[in-house]
Amino acid sequence: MLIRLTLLLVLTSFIIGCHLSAASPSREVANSFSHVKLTTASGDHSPIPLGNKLTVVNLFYEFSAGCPTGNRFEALERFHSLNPDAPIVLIFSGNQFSTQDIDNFKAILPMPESLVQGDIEAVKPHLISGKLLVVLDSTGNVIWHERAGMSEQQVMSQVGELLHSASR
Amino acid sequence: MTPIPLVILIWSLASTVQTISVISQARVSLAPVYLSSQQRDAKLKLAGPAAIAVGRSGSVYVFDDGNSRIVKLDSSGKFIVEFGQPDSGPGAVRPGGLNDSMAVDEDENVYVSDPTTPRVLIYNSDGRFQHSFRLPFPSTSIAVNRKREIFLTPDTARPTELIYVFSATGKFLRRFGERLITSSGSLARNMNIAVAACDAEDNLFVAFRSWPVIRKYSPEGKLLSDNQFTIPSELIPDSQRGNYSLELFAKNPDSAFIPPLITHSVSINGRGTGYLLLNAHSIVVFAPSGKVSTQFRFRAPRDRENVFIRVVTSLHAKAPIYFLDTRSGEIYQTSKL
Repeated sequence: MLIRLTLLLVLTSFIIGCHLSAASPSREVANSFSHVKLTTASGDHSPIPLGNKLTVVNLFYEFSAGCPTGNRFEALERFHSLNPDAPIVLIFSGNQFSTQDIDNFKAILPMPESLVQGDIEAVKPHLISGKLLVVLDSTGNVIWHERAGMSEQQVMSQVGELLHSASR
Repeated sequence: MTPIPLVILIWSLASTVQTISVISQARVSLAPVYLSSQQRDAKLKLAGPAAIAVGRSGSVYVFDDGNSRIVKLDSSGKFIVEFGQPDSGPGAVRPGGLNDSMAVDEDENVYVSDPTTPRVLIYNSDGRFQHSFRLPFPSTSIAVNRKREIFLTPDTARPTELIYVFSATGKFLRRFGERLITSSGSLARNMNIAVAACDAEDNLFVAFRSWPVIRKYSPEGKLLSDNQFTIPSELIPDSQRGNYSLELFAKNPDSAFIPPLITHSVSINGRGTGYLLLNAHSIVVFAPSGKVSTQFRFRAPRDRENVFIRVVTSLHAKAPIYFLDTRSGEIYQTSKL
C-alpha cells in the first residue's frame, strides 16, 4: 500500500512538474493586468502590442542592474538572444519613470525596442520585488505569471517551455 | 623588435603591473570643524556620514547616511539646515552605503546619487528639492562640471563604459572610458568601481577603488593621461604581491577576492592640484596633469579611531581641505597637504 501511495505521489509530482502551463494564472492578476496600458509619446494610452502566438511582458515598478529587477532584465536579455523571434515588452511604471528616463534607458540598455512606459498601477499589489513577468496569448489573455518564491531560473525556464510548446 | 612595438609592449606591461612599496609618514595638522560627540542636540549628531562636498561659499554639505538626510554647515561647522529627510516626499534620500554620492556645482546646487532606487536628486543650496531622474544602475561616485554636466561612475557587472554623463535636466548625453577589466563578474565589478572629480577646466579625474591609477579625461571623454601611484606595502603581504595583477583578476572575474587597496575619494582644488584618500590614512597628491607629486601616510588626531573615508576641497582658490570620518561623525580641515 505504501509503495502504491509513494508511486502515486511521484507520478502526480511528475505530471505537475512536466505540465507547467497547467498552473492556471490567478484571476486577480489576470483582471488587474487587463488595466495595464502603454503610454504613447503624446501621452495617450495604447494596448500592449501582441505577437501571433505568445508575448512575454515584464512590468517594472523599480529597476536597478545588480538588484533583483536588474537580474530580471539581464535574464530577459539572455532569453531574447536565445529566442529572438519571441515578442518581449518591458513596461516601466509611468509613475516612477519619466519619458526622459525611458529615453535614457533606450539609449543605454540593450533591447531598446522593447522598453516602454505604461500605466501599471492596477497590478502594483501583485508585483514581486517591484516587478512581474506575465505571458499573454494572442488575444491578450494572461496564460502564465510568475509567483512569489520562484527563482529567476524557474521563471525563465517555464516561460521558455511555454514558448517552445506554442511554436510547435 | 622595432621601437614602436617595444614601446607598446612596455606601456601595456606598465598598465597591468603595479608598484608596491613602503610609504613614508608625514605630519598633517588637522583642525576639528565638526565633532558629533560634542553636539548636545541629538538632531546635530551625524550617524555614519558617507559623503561630503564643499560649495563656492565655503558651505559644507554632508550626506548623513545613518539619518538619511543632508546636513548643510557653514565653513566653521555651524549647523545651517538639513534636507532630504525621510518625510520630505519626492526629495527624500535613502541610505546609500559608503558611496561617494554627493557633489555641488558652481551655483551650489547639490547633486545626490541614490544607489537604492538608482537616481540622481538635485536640490538648491537651501535644500529645496528641484527634481530627480532615474538611472539604469547605481553609481559609486558623482561629479559635476561648470556646465552642470553630471558624471557618474556605474556600479554594475555589465560590461560597459566607465563614465556616464547626463545633463542637469537628466538627459543622457554620452559615455566614455574603458573599464579596467572588460569582462563581467563580481571581482571585475569590484575592480571597476571608481571615484571621480572635475577640475576648473571641466576635465575629469578618475581613480579606481582598488587599482593604483589616476586617469585624466577631457570634458568630451578623451583620455589625456594615465598615472600610477604606489600601493602601500602594509596592505599586501610579500607572498601575495605577484598575484595583485589585472591579468590575474581578468582571468578570475568571478573570484570572491576582496582587494585590500581602497581609494575612497578624489578631489581637485582651484589650482588643479588633486588629492586621493587611500585606506583612511594615506594621501596621494597629484599635479594638474595627473602626475603623482607626493604620497604619504599621516596620523589622524585620534589615530586609528578616526576612519576617514573622504577628502574634499573646492575649486575656490583658498578653500581648505576637509576630511570626513564616517565612524565618529567628525570633520577636520587643513589648509595644506
